[in-house]
Amino acid sequence: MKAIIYHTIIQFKLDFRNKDVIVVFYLVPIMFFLFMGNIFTLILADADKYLIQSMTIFSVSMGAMIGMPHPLLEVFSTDVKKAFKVGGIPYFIVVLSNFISAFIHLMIMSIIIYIVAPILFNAQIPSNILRHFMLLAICIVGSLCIGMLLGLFTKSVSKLTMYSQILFLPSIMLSGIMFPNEILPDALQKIGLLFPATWGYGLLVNDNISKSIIMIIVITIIGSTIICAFRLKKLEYK
Amino acid sequence: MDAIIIENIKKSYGNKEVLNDVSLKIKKGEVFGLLGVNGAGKTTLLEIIEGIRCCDNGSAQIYGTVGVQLQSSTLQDYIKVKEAINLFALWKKTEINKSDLIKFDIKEIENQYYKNLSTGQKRRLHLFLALFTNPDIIILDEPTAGLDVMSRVLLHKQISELKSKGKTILIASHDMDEIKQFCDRIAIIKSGSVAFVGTCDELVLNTVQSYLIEFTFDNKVDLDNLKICKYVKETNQTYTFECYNISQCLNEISLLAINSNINITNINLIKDSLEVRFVDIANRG
Repeated sequence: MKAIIYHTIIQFKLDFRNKDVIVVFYLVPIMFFLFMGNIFTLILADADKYLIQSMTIFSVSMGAMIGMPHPLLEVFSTDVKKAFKVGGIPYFIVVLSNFISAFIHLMIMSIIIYIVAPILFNAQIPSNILRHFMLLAICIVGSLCIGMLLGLFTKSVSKLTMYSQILFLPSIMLSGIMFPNEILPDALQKIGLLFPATWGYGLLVNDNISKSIIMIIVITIIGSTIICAFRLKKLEYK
Repeated sequence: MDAIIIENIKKSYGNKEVLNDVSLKIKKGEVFGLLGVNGAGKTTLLEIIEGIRCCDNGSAQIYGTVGVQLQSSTLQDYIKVKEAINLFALWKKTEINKSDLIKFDIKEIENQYYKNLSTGQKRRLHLFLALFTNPDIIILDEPTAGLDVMSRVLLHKQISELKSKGKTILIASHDMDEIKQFCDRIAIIKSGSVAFVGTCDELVLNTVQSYLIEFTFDNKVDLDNLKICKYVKETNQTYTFECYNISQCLNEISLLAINSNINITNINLIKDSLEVRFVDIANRG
C-alpha cells in the first residue's frame, strides 16, 4: 500500500513537472474559462446559471482526453514499461496511479472554477454542493476511462494528438456546453450522446439524476476497465 | 549446479524467426558472455530470460533472484533519481544502502531529473537499480555501450566485484576485451541459433584453421623450397609463416635453418584474436 501511495505521489509530481500535461490540465482550461466566461455572460442571457457546469465539463474533457493519456504513453509506448517490469512494478499500478493523479488534477481545476466563477462572472453556485461534486466525480471517472484507453492503445504522440482531438472537439461542440444542443439537428444530437462531455453536462445541469446517463457511465467504466485489463496483460506478456 | 537453463527456445516476430531452438546452461557463479552481431537475437533471448517477452516454444528456468540492466532501459523524463530509487526500493521491499549510492557515484546526482542525466549516469543508475537488492543472478545487456572511459572503468570495477562475490552474471556485449576479461564461458548467437559455446580460449584454439608463426633469424634465408609453411612477410629478418600444423612447420623451418647454416634467434606463435574468431564464425555460411 505504501508503494502504491508513493507511486501516486510521484505521478502527481511528474504531472506538475511536465509542461505538456500542466498546460492541458490547468493553463488552457483557465484561459478558456476566463475568455469564454466573459463572452458567455455578455451574450447569453442565462449563461451565469450553467457557467460553472459548462466550464467544468470543458476542463474535465480536455484534461481526461488530452492530458491524461500522455503519462501513460510515456510509459507504455517506450522502454519505461520494461524498466518497470524488471523492477517488479505492476502495470496496473502505473495506470491506477496515473488515474488517481489525473482525478486529483481535474478535481482541483473544477474547484478553482467553482470558487472563481461566482466572483468574476457572478455565476450561480449549484444549489447542492455535495450533489454537484459527487456527480462531477462520476463524470471525471467516466471521462478518465476514455483517456486511459487512449493512453494504452496509442503508440505515438502524433497519433494520440489526432485521436484525442477527434474525441475532444465533437465532445465540446455537441455536448451543449458551448450552445444549447437543442438547436442542433437530430442526427448531431444523437452523435453528441456518444461523448462523455454530453453525459457529464447532462448530469450536472439537470435537477433530476438521469438513470440512463448513470448507466452509460457505469457501463463505460466497467467496459474500459475490462479492456484495460486485457491490454495490460497483453503488454505484460508480449 | 545451473543458475539458468534455457531449453529449445524459439521466437518469431511475424514471419521472421529471431530465435531457433536455442539451448544453453549457465552455471552458478559463472560469468557467461553472449556474443552476436546486431540483430542476431541476443536481446530477444535476454528479454525472454528476464520475463519481458514470451517465447513461442521452449523454456527458460532461473534458479535465484535476478537483477536486470536492460540495453534500452529508460525512465520518465521528469522523475528525480532519488524518487526512482525510492520507488523501486519500495516495490522490491528493500532498504537502500547509502554507501552503495556513493560507490555507484549516484549520491551527487540524486536530485537531478532523469532526462538531464548523461548516458553514463543513466547506465550507473540502471546498474544500481539492478543490483541494490543483492540478486543471485545479474543480467547485463550491453552495459558499456555508449559509455565514456571513466564510466566504463567504474562499471568494470563493479562487474569484477560481483564476479569475486560469486554472482552469476549473464552479459551481452560487443566489447571483446570486456568479454575476454570477465567471461568464464561465452556463446555466440548467429541468426537466432547458438553457433558456439565454450571458453574464449576454446573459441580461439578450437576454431583455428591456420596459425601464424614468426621466426627471427640471424641472417637472410632462402625460402624457395618451403613445402609445409607458407611465407607471409618479412620485417628486419623476422619472417612470418602461415601453417596448419605447428609441429610440422617448426620441423621444416628448423631444418631450413640448419641446412642454411643460420640460427633461429626467436620464435613467436601468433594466435588469432577473439575478435577475429568471432568475425570468422559470424561470417561463416
